[in-house]
Amino acid sequence: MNQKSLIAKTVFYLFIATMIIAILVPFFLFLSTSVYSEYEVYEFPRKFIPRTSFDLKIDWVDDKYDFSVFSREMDDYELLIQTDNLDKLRRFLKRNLSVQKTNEEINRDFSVSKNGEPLYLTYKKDLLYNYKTFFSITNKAGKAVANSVIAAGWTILISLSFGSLAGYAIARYKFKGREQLSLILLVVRMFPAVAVAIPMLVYLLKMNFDNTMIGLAIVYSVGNIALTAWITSSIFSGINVELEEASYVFGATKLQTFTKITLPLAVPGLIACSMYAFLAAWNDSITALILSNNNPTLSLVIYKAIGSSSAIQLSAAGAVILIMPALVFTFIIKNYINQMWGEVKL
Amino acid sequence: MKKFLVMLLVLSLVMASFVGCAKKEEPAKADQPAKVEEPAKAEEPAKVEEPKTLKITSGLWSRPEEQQFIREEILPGFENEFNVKVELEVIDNIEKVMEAQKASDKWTTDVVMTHSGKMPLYIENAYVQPLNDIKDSLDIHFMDAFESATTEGNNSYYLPISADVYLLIANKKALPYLPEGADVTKLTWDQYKDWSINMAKEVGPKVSFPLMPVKATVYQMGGLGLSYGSEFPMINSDGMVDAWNVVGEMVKNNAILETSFNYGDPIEQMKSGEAWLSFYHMVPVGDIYSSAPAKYVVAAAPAGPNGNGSIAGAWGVGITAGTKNKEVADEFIKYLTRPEVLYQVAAGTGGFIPPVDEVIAQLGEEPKDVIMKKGLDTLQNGVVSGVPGSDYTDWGAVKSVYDTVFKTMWDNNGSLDQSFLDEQQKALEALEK
Amino acid sequence: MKNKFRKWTPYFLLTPALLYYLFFWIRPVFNAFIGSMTDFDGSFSLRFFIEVFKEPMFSAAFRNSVLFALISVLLQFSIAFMMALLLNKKFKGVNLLLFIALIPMAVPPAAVAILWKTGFSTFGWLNNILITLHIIKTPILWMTAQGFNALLFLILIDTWTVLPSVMIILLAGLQNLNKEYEEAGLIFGATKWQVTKDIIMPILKPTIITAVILRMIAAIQVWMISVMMFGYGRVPFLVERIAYYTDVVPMLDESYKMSLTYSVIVTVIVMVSVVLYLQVSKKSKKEVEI
Repeated sequence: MNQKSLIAKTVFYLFIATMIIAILVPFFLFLSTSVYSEYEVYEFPRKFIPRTSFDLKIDWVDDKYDFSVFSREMDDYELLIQTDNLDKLRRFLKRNLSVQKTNEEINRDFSVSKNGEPLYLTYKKDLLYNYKTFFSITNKAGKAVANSVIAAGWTILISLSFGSLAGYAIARYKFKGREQLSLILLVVRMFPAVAVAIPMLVYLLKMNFDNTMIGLAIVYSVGNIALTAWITSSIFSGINVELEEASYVFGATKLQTFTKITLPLAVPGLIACSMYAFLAAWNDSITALILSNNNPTLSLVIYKAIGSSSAIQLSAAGAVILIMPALVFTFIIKNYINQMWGEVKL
Repeated sequence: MKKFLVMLLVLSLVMASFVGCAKKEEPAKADQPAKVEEPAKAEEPAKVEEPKTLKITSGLWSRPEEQQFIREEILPGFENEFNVKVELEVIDNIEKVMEAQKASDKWTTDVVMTHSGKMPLYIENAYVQPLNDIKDSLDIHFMDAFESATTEGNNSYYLPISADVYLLIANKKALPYLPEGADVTKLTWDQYKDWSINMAKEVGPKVSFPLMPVKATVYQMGGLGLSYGSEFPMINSDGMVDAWNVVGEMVKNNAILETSFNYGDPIEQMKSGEAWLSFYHMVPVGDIYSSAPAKYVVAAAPAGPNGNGSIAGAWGVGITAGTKNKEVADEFIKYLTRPEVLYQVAAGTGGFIPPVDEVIAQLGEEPKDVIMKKGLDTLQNGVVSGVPGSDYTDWGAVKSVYDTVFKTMWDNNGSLDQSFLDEQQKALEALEK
Repeated sequence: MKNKFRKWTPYFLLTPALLYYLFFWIRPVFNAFIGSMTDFDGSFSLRFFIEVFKEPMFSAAFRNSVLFALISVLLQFSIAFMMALLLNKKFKGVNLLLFIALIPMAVPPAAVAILWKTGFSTFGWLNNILITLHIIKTPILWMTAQGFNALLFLILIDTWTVLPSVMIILLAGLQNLNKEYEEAGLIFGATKWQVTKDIIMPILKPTIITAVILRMIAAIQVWMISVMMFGYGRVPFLVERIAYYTDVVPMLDESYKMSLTYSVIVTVIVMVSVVLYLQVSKKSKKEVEI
């Protein structure tokens, strides 16, 4: 018996370990990439922990500084640039090595090599360079963040209000078409969003809602209302009708019952629904590309940055910023997810 | 749970107040409070009087690094000198925006930067106004190469501020494999081909020929075709067939990296050292070169019997037809075309060629200058062609034709038969307007 | 009075949602359906369907979409089910583990693409790890995969992204399962495997069916990961073709019509799959009534 459970336990832990590794390693490497300087992105083999500084060799040759960086691949110093122009050196240090120095500092440090001996020194790297740069180079990244928040907020509001009303109806009342309704709600997901976006654009243009966050939210909510209705119908059916009946007995109106008794009990499920609504709005880039190209959400900004720039480390930094709120949201929600899915049936 | 409801309520109230800001009619307000700190930037000049505003909508500077440079190092000079607040917006399909502004007669854009391939469209649709007075007042000389694109009749609608061509870039590690007697600064396509095959035999494929669908296969092959006397775009002319054969030889001898299909530019392959040789648009070439100037050699496009062929483009600055800030826009154009400013713009962004004689005279030996000079060499002495996007119903479809031919050639180990080429030529012609 | 009111209440409650759908979904979709069957001059015509079927990439797109859906759903559900079974024990840190499992779900598609592209490129982190661990000597060219290999590649990436959320659904179902059924089975001498097969799975069936349908619908419509990893046309999917006509060649006369036609085809396939699946599972459901 003991041997069996030992094997079982080992398998169990092995499985868990594999799962954790498979999920966290790529994610961690992604985080690393967001902190790499441009130089490190192309080093191979890379260390998984990003560099914190660079070992440099400066040589004064032919009236120019020979600037070399210690390369792990070659196990030697690799000549990168030859110039005497301080501005060029400053920009090179900044853009390629994420090292921030002023012209004076460079001049003071490098001139030592003019004595004839090559100078070896170490410069610290600015680890947050990519993050700082991302916001200054992407078109109004700050506004994009705000846009994402607004779009997500509207989506939650619309999905939850329309959806939970419908869900309540399905759960509490017997009416014609009730059985089929659940299935019908699924139908919405069957039509590719990419194809609906174009006709939607026309409607939005007519209503003057193109390039607005509420326009986006309207489209995001289409799928989410159905999902919310579906989920809340199970939640509500899980809430004991007797509780409501008792409340009527005590003289409460339908509305009071709904808001004071039913709704609070359903909140965990509603929270989970809002997570789906949030993620749908926050993570989407394609619909935003079509409907709100000139007033982008953060997800769209990053999508474009990835497409047009070769600087993956900057895109990675932006993507990390994008992922953070979603992660936080998910962390808060994780405890409620079980309750939501437990009762869902067709 | 209560907290959550309260939060939701507050969120909805906050959003309700934002609805006004969310509607697109509102002019761009100051940035909403961001979640992460924005680097402190002096966007508001010292307020003595209300600064004027200027809005630039550009298709140029699509790369974030370029936008950063313009915003941080070019615009402030203008803003401070003229007490103007400049908004720079870089987007893809500016035509839609222009059409919308024209249709509603609400011109929010003052200055527009357009690619030469699209200029005829803009002029035809009256999105931009003539600039003759500015041009005459300027004491500089623009290259002739872009006269036809920027003018219509007697009117100049655009001033070309940057031009780009395709260049050759090689990692110095590749130099030992050059064929006998070849000079990397004056290569022929035959030598390029032999060079790539030499490397393939010794160290494996080392040529980056970015082949990601609908990107730049058309331009690389187009440049090659021009070197052999073909027109652009063209699939089955004699010159083009020669061009296909040159590349076919490389494919047959495994000189081109298969991973090229995954990339729209050679940057990753070159910077990581996977590739040592490429012929590509000068902006990515500039990017690779400046990442470590000591490691690379840049040269003008290789030559065929007809000369150094390359597809060339130019970007021009224009003023929208319905702008309300004509004086400020004028000042901006004059500022931008100052030789020292234009040089900065060219060097600080991708390393475009500034098509102005006075600026060209200033080019020195810095990495970006080197790129610019090589590009200039090709532009002035080579066989160049623009991108006739307006002549075709859909340029993306044109690109797809080239992709199809190349892929077929690759699958057939470098050979193509004439009937297939003729068939694809028909497909190409079917796309003409 | 109250009774009469009561009768209409559900309809009142449903109306907002239904109106919303009528306006923002049924209308555009209806127009899309009509549009796909209307020729340029307004007459009824099925020529766009014929053009789609004749397209060189159509059969590849169709095959890929169907294969992708089948393989990924099967693969993901088997693994997810095992994971859920294993995680269905109360132990310290199970909630933390749950959170970790959710991470891929929070990563937006564009970021997933960089994550894996930087991983699978010749000098990417995967080769990096393999070489550092001395498992291989020279980098493997993952990204040169063609045809079926490329499809499997995409399935792998999709699984990474999606597996956690499938697992969670199953896990939730398991955790809401009444332990008594399981224990009863064990008391009567069934092995753990029999208990799983004959007691847990049937009870879990509704949950599984729901989750499978949702996944199937999503899987048939996969496209973005293919475009971000390989570009257009290399591993075609039905919805990838829609994106092609909408994004890459939008100015051709027939572009819009072609994307509508593809959309209709996709919708039909999805509906048929769902109906088929429901029929099959209903049949076996009948055997299971406890």
